[in-house]
Amino acid sequence: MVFYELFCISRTRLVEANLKDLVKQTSLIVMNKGGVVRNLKPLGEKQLPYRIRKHQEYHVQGYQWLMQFDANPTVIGELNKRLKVDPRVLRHAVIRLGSKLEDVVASAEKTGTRV
Amino acid sequence: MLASVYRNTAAKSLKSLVPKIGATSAVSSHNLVARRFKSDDAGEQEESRHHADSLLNIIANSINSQTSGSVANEQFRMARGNFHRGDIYKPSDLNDSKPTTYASPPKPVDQLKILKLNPIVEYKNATLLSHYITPLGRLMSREQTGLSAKNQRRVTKAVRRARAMCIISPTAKLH
Repeated sequence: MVFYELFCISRTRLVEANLKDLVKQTSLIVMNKGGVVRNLKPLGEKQLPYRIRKHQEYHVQGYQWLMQFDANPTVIGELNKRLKVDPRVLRHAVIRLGSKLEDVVASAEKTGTRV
Repeated sequence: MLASVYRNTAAKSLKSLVPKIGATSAVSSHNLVARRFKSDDAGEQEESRHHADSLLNIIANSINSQTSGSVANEQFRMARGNFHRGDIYKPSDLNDSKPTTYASPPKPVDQLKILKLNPIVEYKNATLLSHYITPLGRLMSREQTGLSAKNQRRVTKAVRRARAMCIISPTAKLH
């Protein structure tokens, strides 16, 4: 199991239930394959630094959130496939920060990037 | 021109500025079960923000946003007898009968190494990364940032990642 972080920008002005559904579904993809979701962190609705075009629309704001999880590398392909197609998601990236959470924590703690 | 990097506080004094963070905080607070979107305690947030601000100040002061032109210029500046505001001189510096000696500039200090920050983990941290880009959004050279080769590579990677993920702008410095 490797420690990953999914950084996702989803559409603004989603109904709360819809956003929760998105997050839940994403977590379930990981958990159904035997992964462990460590942390779900909302980073807030932000003005994007440049205009994005996704799902045949232009977007200038986005809701950023973070999911940290331990999973098998094979899960990532599945995750990417689903997120690419989901109309609520503007950008997503699964990033491998280290093989273990503990390796990553030390740096993040200092800048308040609470892991 | 590389003044701000060279004249910075020594590594020792920087270490004393870094707040000691207890080992207990991060690891023990993790749950294996996904947490819902709950806001942190106000106190905790304030403290971590305070830490973050002081660290960012340290970094901001270390960046030199202009590169110097020629090497000859640098040698002239480092020569004995060439005085600048704030310099401390001794009587022998006023003695023109002795030949000018060129002092080698002190090694630039890698801020991220001292603060033990990993730029790759901080790809989400637009405020931190903004210190390493010019007002037009371009990456600064190693001369300007004063980072070690390894950290410069990592910062570059972090910035490019942040640009791709719509965290920082490729054409401006917004934070």
